[in-house]
Amino acid sequence: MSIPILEMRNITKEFPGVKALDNVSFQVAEGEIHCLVGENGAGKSTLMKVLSGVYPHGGYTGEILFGGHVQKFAGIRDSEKAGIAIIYQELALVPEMTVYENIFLGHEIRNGFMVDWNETIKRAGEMLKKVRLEVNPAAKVKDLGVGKQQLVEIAKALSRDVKLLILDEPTAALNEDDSENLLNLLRDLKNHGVTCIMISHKLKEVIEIAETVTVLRDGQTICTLDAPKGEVSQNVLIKHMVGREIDNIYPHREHRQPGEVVLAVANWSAYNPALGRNVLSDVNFIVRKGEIVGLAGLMGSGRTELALSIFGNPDGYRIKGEISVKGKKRRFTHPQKAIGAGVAYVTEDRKSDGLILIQDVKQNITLANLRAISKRGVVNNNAEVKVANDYKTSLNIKTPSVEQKVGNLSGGNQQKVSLGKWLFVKPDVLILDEPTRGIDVGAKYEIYMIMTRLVEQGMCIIMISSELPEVLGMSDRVYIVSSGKIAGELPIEEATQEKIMHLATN
Amino acid sequence: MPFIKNARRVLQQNIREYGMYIALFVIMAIFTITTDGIFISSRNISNLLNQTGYIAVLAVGMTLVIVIRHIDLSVGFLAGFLGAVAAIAMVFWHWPVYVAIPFVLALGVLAGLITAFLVAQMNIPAFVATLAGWLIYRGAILLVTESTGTIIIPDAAFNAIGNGFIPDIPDIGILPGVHKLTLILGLSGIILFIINEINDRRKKQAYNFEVLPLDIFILKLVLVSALVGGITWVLAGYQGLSWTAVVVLIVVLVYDFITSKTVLGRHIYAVGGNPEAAELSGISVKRITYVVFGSMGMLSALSGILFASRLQSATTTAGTLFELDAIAAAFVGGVSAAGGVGKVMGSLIGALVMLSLTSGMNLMGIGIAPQYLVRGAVLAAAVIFDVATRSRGK
Amino acid sequence: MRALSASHSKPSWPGVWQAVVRRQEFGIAVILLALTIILSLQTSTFLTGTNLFNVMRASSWIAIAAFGEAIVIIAGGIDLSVGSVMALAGLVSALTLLAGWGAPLAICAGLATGVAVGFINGVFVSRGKLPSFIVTLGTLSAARGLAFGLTGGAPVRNLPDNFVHLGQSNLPLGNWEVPLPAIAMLAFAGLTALLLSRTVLGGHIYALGSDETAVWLAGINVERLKITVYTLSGVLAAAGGVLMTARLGVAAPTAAVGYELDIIAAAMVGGVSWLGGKGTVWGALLGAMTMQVLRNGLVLSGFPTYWQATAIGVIIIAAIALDRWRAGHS
Repeated sequence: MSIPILEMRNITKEFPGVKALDNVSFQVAEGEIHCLVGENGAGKSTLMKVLSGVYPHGGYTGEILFGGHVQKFAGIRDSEKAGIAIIYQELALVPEMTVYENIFLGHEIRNGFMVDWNETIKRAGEMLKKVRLEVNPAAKVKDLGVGKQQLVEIAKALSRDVKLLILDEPTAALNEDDSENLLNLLRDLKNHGVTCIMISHKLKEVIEIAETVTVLRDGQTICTLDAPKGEVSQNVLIKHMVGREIDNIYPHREHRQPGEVVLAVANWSAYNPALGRNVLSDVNFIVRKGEIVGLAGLMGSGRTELALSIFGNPDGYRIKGEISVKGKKRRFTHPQKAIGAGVAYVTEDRKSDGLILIQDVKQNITLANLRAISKRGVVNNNAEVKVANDYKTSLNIKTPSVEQKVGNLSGGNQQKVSLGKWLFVKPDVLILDEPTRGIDVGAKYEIYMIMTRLVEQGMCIIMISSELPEVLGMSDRVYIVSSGKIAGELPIEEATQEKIMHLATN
Repeated sequence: MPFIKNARRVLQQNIREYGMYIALFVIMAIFTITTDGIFISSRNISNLLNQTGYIAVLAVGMTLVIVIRHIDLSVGFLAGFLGAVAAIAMVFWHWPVYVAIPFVLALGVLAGLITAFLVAQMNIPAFVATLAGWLIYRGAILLVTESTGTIIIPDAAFNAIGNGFIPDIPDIGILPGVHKLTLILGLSGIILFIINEINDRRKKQAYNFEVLPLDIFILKLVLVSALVGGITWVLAGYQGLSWTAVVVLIVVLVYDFITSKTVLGRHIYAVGGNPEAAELSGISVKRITYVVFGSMGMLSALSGILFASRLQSATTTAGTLFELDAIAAAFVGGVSAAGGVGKVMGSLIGALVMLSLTSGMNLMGIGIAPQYLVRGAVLAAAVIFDVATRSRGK
Repeated sequence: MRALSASHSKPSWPGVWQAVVRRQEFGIAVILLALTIILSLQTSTFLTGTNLFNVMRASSWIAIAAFGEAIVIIAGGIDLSVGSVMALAGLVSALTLLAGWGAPLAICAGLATGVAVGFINGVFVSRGKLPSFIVTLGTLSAARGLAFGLTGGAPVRNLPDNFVHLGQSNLPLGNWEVPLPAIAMLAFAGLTALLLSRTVLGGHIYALGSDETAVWLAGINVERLKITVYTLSGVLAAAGGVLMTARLGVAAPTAAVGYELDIIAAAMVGGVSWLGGKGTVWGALLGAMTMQVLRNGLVLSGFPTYWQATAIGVIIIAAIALDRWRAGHS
């Protein structure tokens, strides 16, 4: 192994309540393509944000050595100066500006006070040639496809004399041709001496391109594998990625005979006008009474879009297809209608979309069904307190009183409040989007217990989750979502982490 | 001294809520001293309450608008314009007052719904849409008053709203020269308040909710009773409770009830607290926007009626800068620019603070210039206070 | 159809036409032209050199302040304090003149006032993370109060001739007597346009209004950028205010009340999108001219003055509707 260009030593980064990185060490050799893999939430993106200065020095412990020197990046500007460029999943381009303006945004070519646009356009042209992108430098970025925008980002990085290029899931939104093109470009850059770190979920690509692969899991470095020595294969990677023992944290449940079909979604397609493409195409699935159905898939595969499009479509997708609830065809134009028909959706991000943090527990719990505790529009406070206290007891919400502001509760208890809110609408179908993200093991178990109780009472649950052990531990049936389509359906007896991963990463 | 410790803790936890009462008290005390007691005289307090009226009703509506994260800059000239329309309806069209007032209130609702359409349906930022409204209503008020100039309103019933006082019960020999109905109303108000507070406290204790320590609770009851009692006594010594004060009290009580007790009120605060979560909880954010702006329009109309009635005429400058006073009153009253926080009762206190400042400075003979400065500074202070206490609260 | 036009690689007439139509300034230029034609047909006095120069002179200070407003709106904010800043800056210049400072120094004092108010706006918006319309509503009130405070409400008269000349004289150019304020307006337009289109700062301003996160990720100091933006708006408003004072020959604390709306209207009518990231100084200039032509035309055609405010309000709404329509069709 040649000299390391980058060495991150014992990096620990904590967020309130979560240890995102736990003593991670990571080495990249000069001139190699190094892939960073791991499940969602393993800490890959956090590690790269520490490296690029998005989380400035002082916010983490540990040491970064780059180019042989200890670095203390206070911001993106510093890491850029040192020669590190990072390309995020959500591209950091200004859509209304031209390609050449974007390439040189933040380090414009000056001629005295003025920007030298002629030189800028000329140099932009050279950069575009390097990334083999044939577009007019004066075209607006918003008019380019995602694949081309990706290349503009790389051109932007190259224009800054980058030594180390980091790509965070660069091919997640690309089709196969564009992906292939991008991988070829990375090889080409490597030959020109650019070191490259790529985060990817697509293991096929990783195997194709990587010389070294580092696997992260639960904020820790699991292993570093050497491709030329033949250490890298899909099975090995998946084993290390999901590696943990399936703990006995899932409550025992009789897999009973499922009842009649409660929710059926047929030929379901959704076009997102903001992105200008289909986020879902031709999705079919059913959910039966008393059943937990897992929706597995990578982030961005369309799981949340599927849930939202069913739940009254608040994002305004153009939808084709049919839903029926308990045999009745339905069309939901607002979440209100979906709730009225017995569908509830516990959002993925409870802080931004789920709860009103400045209001108290009881107000949050009763919000979606105030009618049940009011007469002629006037809320009955006693009934409200009683309802809230009932859920506080039955869901074991740890709060001094139901008058506590939700913002002051821990993540697990916030999630229980969110659950309480949706149980109070007495739904037939409960959609849970990442029900246990960011909460500790004890609270997780409690939530699994609640889910079990609910299906035994005859509710049916759709569980969206990126955590495969959870999917396997809780579901009766699993649908795998990939690129806006149902990539497969597995009964729980046949489902394994490897099978799901294969379907989700293809 | 546990009492002082309690008091300090309660004050620190509720500084947002109590800050404005303290401000009001300090301002009133200062002006009472600097004007040798003229400020606290019956006549001045009575005037002060009447002047507060047309700002207070605007501030009530503005509070809800800011709670749902919008702003309405058009309310001042809308009030002036609708006041002029009321005058025209009565003077030129010879409409009776009981037809003119509902008509103008309905026009106000309509104006509010138009704003809501621009904001909710067209997604135009509220301050731009209402800035355009500001211009349009400024033109409109000139349009309807240009040919006639100031329109004098001769209708006695209409003018009584801004200048009249409630009648007294017949003299029965005790307390001559004091307005007895006012005293009776004030006393019943205090008694109702105390009973309500004690009941509320009992209920909370039954649920094991946090309540104020007993000594602080008693202190609060005594202070509020003394304040209401004092104002009642001062007013009773003059001409009693004015009709304006009655209108404002009714508006505040109705809005306080709606915001704190009804489903609609809950939905308004939910939309302000987190619009995405509210939408996903089945609340139509658009509908709430229509309701809140519609109510703002109606209250603008009411404000215009109160002002026209007080001046007994409609003028071309009516409503100028009312929006600033209303916004400032809302902020002083504890509404938060971040949305979801703010009480109707607070905006009444805020309006009192703003008008006390104006009244006191007028009494002291301070020119219009420093007054502008002070009012701007109070708005700035209220916003800074909002930011400071908001970040600390989290 | 689509396939056909895509196969043309050379610029065709429809292509050029589309490029022109899609320019943000196109709509307003057409409106301005149409207004001019209608008014010249309707009144004999409109299309005279004197009247046209009057229109330019009368729109000059609104236009100059609108350049600053355009910068703020392009950067994704709003500045409501510009009217008060105009009054305050004019007053500061007038007072320093009467205190015996020369015209150049007094003008600088006026401009410095604008810098100060703008800087305060910028700091509160960026550091305080407050909505810009609330911050600038506060400074609108505070600056106006300060203007009253400086004079006790009385206007300042008897300004020295050399200062007043700046606003009132004309520069003979051939047959024409071009008013100095009109020249100042064009000069400021040129400078601001250069700043926005040619400098690094200009590029960053457009980027900020279009996508703040992208700007931050590009390693640009967003806080400093915002402070600069509001300071620029303050100084341009101050320049407009000083010019207005020179033209009127008197500085009153009540001057320019409500101008912030005219100024915002000018920018938005000129195609500066309230969504941020789009618009040009030339658009703002056209917007200011259009509004003045409209005013002038309403007066010449014998309409009462109150129609002006209403017309401007309607125009703002129309401009925004047009902006949305264009956004929907691009």
